[in-house]
Amino acid sequence: MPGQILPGQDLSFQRELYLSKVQPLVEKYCHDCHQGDSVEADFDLGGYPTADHVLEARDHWKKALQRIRFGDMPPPDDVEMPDPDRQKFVQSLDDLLNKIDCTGGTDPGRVTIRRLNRNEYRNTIKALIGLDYRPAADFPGDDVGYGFDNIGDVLSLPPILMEKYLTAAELISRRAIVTSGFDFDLDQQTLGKDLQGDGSPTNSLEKNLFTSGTARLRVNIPTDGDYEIEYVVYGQQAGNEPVKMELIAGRKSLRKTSIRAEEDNPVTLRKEHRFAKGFRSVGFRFLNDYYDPKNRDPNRRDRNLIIKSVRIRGPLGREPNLPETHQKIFFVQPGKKLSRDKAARQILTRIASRAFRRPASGEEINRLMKLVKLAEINGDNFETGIQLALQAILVSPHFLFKIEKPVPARQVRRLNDYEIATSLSYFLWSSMPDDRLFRLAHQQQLQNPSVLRAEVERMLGDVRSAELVRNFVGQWLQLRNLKELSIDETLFPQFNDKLLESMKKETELFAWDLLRRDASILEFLNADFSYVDRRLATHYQLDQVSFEGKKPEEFVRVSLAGSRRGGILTQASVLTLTSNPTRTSPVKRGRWVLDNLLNLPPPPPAPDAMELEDQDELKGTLRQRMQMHRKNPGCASCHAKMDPIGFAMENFDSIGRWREKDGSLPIDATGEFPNGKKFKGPQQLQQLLLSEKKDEFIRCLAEKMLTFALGRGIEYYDRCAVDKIVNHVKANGYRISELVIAVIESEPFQKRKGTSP
Amino acid sequence: MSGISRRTVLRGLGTAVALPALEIMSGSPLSAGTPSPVSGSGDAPKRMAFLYVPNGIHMPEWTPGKTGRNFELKKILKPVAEFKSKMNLLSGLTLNGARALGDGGGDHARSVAAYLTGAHPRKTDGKDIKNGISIDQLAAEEIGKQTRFSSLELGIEASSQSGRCDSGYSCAYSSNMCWRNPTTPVAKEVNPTAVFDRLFGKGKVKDRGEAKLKREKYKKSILDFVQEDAEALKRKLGAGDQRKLEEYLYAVRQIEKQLLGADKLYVPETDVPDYPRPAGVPSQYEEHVKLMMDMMVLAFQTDSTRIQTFMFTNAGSNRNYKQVGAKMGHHDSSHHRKNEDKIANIEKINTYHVTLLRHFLHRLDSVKEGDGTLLDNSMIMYGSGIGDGDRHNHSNLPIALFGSAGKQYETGRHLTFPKETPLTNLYVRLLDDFGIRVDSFGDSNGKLDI
Repeated sequence: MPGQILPGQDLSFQRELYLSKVQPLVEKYCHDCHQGDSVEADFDLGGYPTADHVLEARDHWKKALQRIRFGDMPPPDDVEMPDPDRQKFVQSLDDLLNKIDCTGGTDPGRVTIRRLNRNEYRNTIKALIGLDYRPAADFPGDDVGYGFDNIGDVLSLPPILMEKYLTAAELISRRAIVTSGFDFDLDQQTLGKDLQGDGSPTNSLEKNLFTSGTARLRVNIPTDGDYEIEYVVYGQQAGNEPVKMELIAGRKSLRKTSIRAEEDNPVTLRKEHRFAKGFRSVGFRFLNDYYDPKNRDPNRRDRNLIIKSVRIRGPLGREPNLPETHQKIFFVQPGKKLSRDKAARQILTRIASRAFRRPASGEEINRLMKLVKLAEINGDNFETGIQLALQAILVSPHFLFKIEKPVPARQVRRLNDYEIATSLSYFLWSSMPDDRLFRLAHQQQLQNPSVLRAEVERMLGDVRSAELVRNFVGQWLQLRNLKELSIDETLFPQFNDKLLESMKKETELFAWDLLRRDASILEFLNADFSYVDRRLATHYQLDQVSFEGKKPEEFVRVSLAGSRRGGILTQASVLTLTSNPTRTSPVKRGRWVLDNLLNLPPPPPAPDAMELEDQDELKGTLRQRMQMHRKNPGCASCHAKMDPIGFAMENFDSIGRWREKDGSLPIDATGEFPNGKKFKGPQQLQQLLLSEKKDEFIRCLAEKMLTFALGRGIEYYDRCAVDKIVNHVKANGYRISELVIAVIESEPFQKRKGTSP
Repeated sequence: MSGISRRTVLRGLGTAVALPALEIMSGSPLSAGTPSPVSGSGDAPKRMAFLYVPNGIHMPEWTPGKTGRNFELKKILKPVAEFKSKMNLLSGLTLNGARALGDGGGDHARSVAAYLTGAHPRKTDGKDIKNGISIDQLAAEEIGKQTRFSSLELGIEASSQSGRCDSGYSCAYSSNMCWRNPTTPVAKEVNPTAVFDRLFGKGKVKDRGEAKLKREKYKKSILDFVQEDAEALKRKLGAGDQRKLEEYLYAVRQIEKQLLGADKLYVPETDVPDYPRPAGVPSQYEEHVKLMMDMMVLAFQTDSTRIQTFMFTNAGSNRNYKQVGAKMGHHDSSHHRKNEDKIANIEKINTYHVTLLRHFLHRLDSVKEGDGTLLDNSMIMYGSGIGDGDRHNHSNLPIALFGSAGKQYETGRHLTFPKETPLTNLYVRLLDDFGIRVDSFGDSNGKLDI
């Protein structure tokens, strides 16, 4: 498909905006410190005569915008900026940096090739091979960027991980493929010397039929079926024709063969035969005895048939004792109609194509075949050869990375069907595409919007979408940080790892419930139910919940209507992970809300904030102490936005239990938004978030989900896509599936831009 | 000369662990007269290790009052008093790169990223991470070829799983102090069993001789195969993707090197450390740290590597240490604001870490090498990229140096350097003593006189 060329951006709007609105404010409020001889923070505003200059340093200016928005800049103790000016400043600077014309062709961005993270690796191995490779949990931690652990740019591949991949590949292929001791009901090996009938043993192991006659063995056939008779023979050659022999089962002649092989190079022959259950006889008849004692060459005087060994195994065609993993890989077997090479090619083509998540090329298969040959040359069997090739597949960059075809510079192209299938399945399942997705990709159906939509719905309905909860929700809400918490267990003797696990599970089950019901995403904030096990029921003082007939660790869905809880801000997981080991932290809680629900992370503390050495000992309730701390104007502007939000949750202690008092002093759970709206308690806070900040919440969730789906950070040019997602969600009852579909249908998900030349 | 006649086996608790089958056992020319680096009477190899603790130190109980030889150890360093004569305490060094320099908060991430690089890491929590090469990786590049592993990077906590790690800094900064180049942090191993297996193999006694040779031949062909894959792919992809494939290729080449270098490990049976294969990651912090330290000693002792690093925790850790009565989180109590309870808490933690350090030093010092000990032949740096935890400053860092890499400098002193002397001046000096000449390192402006 020919790529589309991106038009250059028209910057006339930004240039005008900068000159008319932004620059006057910058001059008025910022130049004192950020221009001239001594420039603060290396941010010299003299270097930005036009909007073009600003946009080249977009990231720098974004930080400035963040600080202005939070009232941290200009420094409140130095320069006073009236609110109307601040609003104007924030609005116009935001437009300048982020507004983008959505009518033309927008930039879908590009995604750096993404290594499978350890969770994806484990899931993919499970889907590809059918093995749960647990040591994947031992891989070094995946680095995190933009809040998620599936970001291509950030995921690195240190040698230590490569070592682990190699070890894993070896172990997995060994466990998946059986190379010896194929389990047949019958696998009887008989040495030549043990055959009955004519002839006599030679050198203690073989049977020498030195006159015409028949040597036989008896075999106890366990069930009716096809069996393979494998016999190793050679001849002592004499006269003018080779040794001739006949293979007999019972009285039936199966095959007559000329044996040209001699002692130093015996031949292995195989014949399949259908046997009935019971004791059967297999015979080897020597047909053309010859004796010429006068031959000049003493080695050519006597013609004899030597039988070295016989192996009978079966029944064939069903190999019930081979593990499923083996059977899945060896979906064809070399045999009469299929040469070993052809069988190997078919086997490798299937497994490599699935592993690489696109059809493997002929050239790739050729190179894998070399490994099969290598095993053969080294005396290993067919299965070992495939095992070796599988090892190579599992450490190939085509497997370890999700690779998309490169796009020419400045061009834009749509992902092909296989790339869509891969993006979809890692987004929704954190795993490789299943057979159905591969089939649809093969039929080029995934470009069809209605097919795509149906697939998304199917995938969300599949149990594998629990991975979306674990990986997306788990990281969005930072649930994964729970296990790294250290809570002071002498202060909180009720606290232990099991309780922590229950907390995490509650939130996961809660999110999973929303997903299964395709509920409104607003329920994250206003749900009137949750899930508790016995431990949490006690923790929450939900005495009326019945666990009758439930297993000890089982969770039940409980209605919270009319109670103090409901919504994620009242769940012990979130309340605990935003606390300190010994006490609650309104700062962390407030920050968590701003960061994860509104996507408004406060700017980092000023460089000198931590170095306040001579602060007097602070006394009083936590709120009072913090209010004193906020007297420092350098800290106040941001804390004024974080702390009041956190204070609303003060009725929950640092492990999420309800409390009326902090120490001996009563709790004051009133809070306040930056815009002055007051509220009391987390439920009012949640309601207010829904009434006043609904768009921000949806946008926040949309951006986080897009980040997770793409595996890259959100850029200014994604704004059109995010706007579209937000509008789509609002127009479709806020349903989760609509959010997911809007993300998948978005340009950044469907298309890629080429790297700049 | 004769090859090793008996199997060289490490005897463990119910496990017999074979060292990798060595060329030397089949009497290859390589073995002829190769002196053991460990027990040989010639020059013992020099080793370096860098240890890191987070959140700075409570400096009033770290820095001795006097300088020179007649200094008294303060409370925090008391646990290593027995090594006073083998120690140099270096006061006044500065890590400028860890300072905000206009980037605002994030001292923790910055300080660990700068600790061994002396660079000022770029503030980002996503792509375009940028730092500098770390001293251990530079040394590994220079002399790492002489051992099976160019370097080992160890720690207790893996990279964090979620969230921005510190005020807008990527977790790649706060959980990695080793950097192969400015864009590539080197992940650390936290599982002692995995370290043991890397060092000494999994101990499949039957997997020797022919079978082993064949297995290695197969392994090499697989590495060749994927290398071809990656090279071909690299040519097709854009710049950002190429960087990822370069990482991949580098990793593959490192492993190839280990495969080829397996014959470099020569440990006479008499000197084989009698150490059991660890059974996974201990749940107790102390046991975990000690096991990792034992692995480090084994790695040095068998000359598997000469360069190692160890992080007691990731940057900014808020772990508490109830086992020694430090109930408050480490980070929280480091900001003590003169609160006595918090000061007591941070002191306990600082002292506890030094107690664990003692275990390491003790083990190193009990390995005899030539006239001295393994500790004497090493330089072990212990410290933090933050000075005083309460102030989060990056001047006057707590830096203690143990051993002298074979008498490269005198020991048993407390030295104070002029304000703003870069920590990296010390690195120039250490590299020099290690036989690696560099004009400068990071932000250095000279070579430290110690």
